[in-house]
Amino acid sequence: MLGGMIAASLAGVGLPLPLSALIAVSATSIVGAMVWLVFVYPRSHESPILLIMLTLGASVVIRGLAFILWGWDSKSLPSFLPAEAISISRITIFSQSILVFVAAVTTVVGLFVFFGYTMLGRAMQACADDHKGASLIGIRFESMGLSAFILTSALGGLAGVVITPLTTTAYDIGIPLAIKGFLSALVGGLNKTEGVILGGFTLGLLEALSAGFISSGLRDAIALGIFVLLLVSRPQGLIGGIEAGRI
Amino acid sequence: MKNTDLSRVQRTERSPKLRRLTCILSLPLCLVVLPLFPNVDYLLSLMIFIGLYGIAALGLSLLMGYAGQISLGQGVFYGIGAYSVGVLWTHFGISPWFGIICGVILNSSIAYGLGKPILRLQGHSLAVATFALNIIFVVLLRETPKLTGGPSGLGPIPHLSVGSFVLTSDVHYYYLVWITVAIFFIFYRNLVSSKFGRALRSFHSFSGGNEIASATLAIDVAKYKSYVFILSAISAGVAGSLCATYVAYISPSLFDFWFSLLLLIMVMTGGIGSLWGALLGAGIILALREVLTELLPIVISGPAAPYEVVAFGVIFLAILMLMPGGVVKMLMRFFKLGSHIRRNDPSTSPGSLHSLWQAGLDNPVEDALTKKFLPGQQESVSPIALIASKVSKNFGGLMAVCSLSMEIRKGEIVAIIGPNGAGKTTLFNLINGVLKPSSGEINYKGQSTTPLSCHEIAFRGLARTFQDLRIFTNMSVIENVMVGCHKWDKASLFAVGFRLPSARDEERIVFRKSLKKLAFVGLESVADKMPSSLPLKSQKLLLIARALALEPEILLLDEPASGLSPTEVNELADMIFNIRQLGTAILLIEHRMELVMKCADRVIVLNFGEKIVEGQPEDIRRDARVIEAYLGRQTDVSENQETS
Repeated sequence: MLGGMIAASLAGVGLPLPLSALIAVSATSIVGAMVWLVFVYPRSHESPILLIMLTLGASVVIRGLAFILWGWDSKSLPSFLPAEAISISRITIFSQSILVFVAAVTTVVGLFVFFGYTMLGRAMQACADDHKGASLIGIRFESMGLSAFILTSALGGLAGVVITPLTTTAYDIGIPLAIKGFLSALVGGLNKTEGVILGGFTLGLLEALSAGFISSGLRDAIALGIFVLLLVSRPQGLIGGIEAGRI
Repeated sequence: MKNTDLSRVQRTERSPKLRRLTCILSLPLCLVVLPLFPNVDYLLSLMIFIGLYGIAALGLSLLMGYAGQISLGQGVFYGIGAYSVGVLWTHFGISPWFGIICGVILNSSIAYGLGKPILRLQGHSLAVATFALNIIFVVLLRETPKLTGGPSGLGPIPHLSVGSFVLTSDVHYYYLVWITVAIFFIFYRNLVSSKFGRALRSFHSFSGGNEIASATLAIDVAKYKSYVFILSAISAGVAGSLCATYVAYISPSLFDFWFSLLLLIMVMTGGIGSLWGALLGAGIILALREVLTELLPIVISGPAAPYEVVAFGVIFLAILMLMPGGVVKMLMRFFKLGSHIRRNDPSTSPGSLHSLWQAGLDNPVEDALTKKFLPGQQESVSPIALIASKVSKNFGGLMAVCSLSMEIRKGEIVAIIGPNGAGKTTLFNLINGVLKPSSGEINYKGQSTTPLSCHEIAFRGLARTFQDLRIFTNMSVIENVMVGCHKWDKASLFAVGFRLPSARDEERIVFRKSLKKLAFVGLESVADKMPSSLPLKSQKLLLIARALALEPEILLLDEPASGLSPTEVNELADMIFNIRQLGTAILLIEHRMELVMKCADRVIVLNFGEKIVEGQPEDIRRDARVIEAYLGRQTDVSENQETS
């Protein structure tokens, strides 16, 4: 939400599109870092319920601020590419849709490389697996938490920016989007990039199919319902394996 | 001597007790007389809403604070309560009273159906899943206009009436709602301070419980979670039904995600794990909202709603950051009431401990209760209590236990030894059902344990202790043992919640039984202490007492002697012989050879998951294969010496 809104307002005052997108993504990462610094870090040893509530509370405040800044109206961005739509024989595709797809693929590849081949990415995974163990081999739990928050909010901002030309954006789209994102990550398998992609893909497909074949009003209900079922039947995610832990 | 100790405790604590009593009584009194004051109309309607939210918050508080389950979907149950009243009235003209009952039935069946599968999820998964259910619910309400009126909702719904007397005024509703609050409050308070509450605390991991330890004491964790889920659904549903008859018009937006979030905020503000906190939180949050709506237009020109949201969010974040334990905890610290209200358990507050103590002496009922279970236990005449045949367990590629066969005869003491990582604890986990074997079968009392879950095996008389203790640190010593007595409990939820005589008798019996177990291990003098204040040896004895509360036929002891001094090990050996005198077979994992050599009738040596030797302790000591497993092969040593 924030990414789309910031980019839209900057572009609205006449900044070039790529620059406003860049600023928007950096701004969202800064907001993410602030949320972590102010709320999550000082309470990081408390129960996860408290942490969930803190981030939810922060998102309520940000949402309220966005409303004060931008009001009710939804905002839009022009398409990033010059041509509005591309026709291949009888199929017409918005050029922006292609861009969204490209952005998604780039992100996936980027995350693969990041988690598989960079020191920071591996350290982050180690930390997620067992932060005590990770800190024993010299990984700073604090900087990992911070980097993870920056990374997620940057990606969230990016998603908001690229999708805005297609769907427009408003102050209240954030929370439903967040919940869908979270749910697809859980269904796919939280610590597997490919699982998360699979989850997101399935959710999108389910939404489109139920909107097309059953009812567009019930779209969310059907897709989310199937997802809850999937989550309950495989709590570790579609791809995530069973963890062999010490009992 | 013990009795005088306790009465001294009681005497010194009398005055805070009195203060606490006045605290607790003054509040309801204020509530009762409130409508008598003039010009309180506005306050009354606010209080009605606080009460309505309070009812739902009490349920959520029970779910979150005591069972450790987060739910962001209470709006669903609130909505079902409201809509069952609304739909039945507008379509069929059925009385709202009947609607309330239908709501309760509908909610409990839905919560029952949802509970078991959805409560398998934990932490954030559970939060997101319940949140998703809330979204689904609102979409369904909007998309079924014929039944629910769609987005515009239903109404008008009449006020409740008794005979020809209609509850028209706010004063009527005020009393109705707050009487309901009181009933739920008393019911839940009794529940959490009973065997039910002990069971919940025993598996609530964030306050010192442990799910596996809880299951090994014959507590069906999933069942209890689902009970609490149902109760929280009923709370929310009743609140929703009452709300529907009070506000007369209902629409989907009343029950969306924001309701659920607001409820969660109330519980967190008041303080998780405190029922007072749920009510207080509801009061604070709703009052705050009112104050903000009144104040903000004075400060800010233009529409105030968005500023309200921001201010509200900021205050909420401030409460979470500055008082993570909630307002109640902070207040109690301020008034120094802490230890008395927090541990409101009848068995821990010194006064009632004393009365239970006296009432528990020479109570003949206990033996009757025990006897009921005994025939089942003594049915089988075979001398063999447990047979494991070709049991294997692998974790991925690692073979932790490999084709192991063994048996335990009744009243026998068998020791299992082996180097670290030999699969000893895994074997225990297989025997008591924490893990299921990859192949092979374990036969306990003539029945395969494969289809049984951990708590069912414990119920059949197989108890264990843990290497890493897993004492319930959130309960006193005696309560720890009382959790172990859970298998004997008979009183229903209803009897416990309303403190009927049957439940009180049972509590007394369980108390006395637990005291006996503590006396058996010599800990009766510290029954009312918290376990963390005890030395290691006493903690280990407490574990044994807790396991003995199941009156087990087989007791698995996982390294009971580690960390104890040689004299203490000798005392432990005597204790093990005493336990055998009760007719209990003991399977012992131990590294302290003095204990093994002294106690064991038979020793089984494991290495890399396989049984390498089995025999008398003296033979084992001299066995070449055992020496090799522990120290390596002699030739290796000499070879190494030569090369170096």
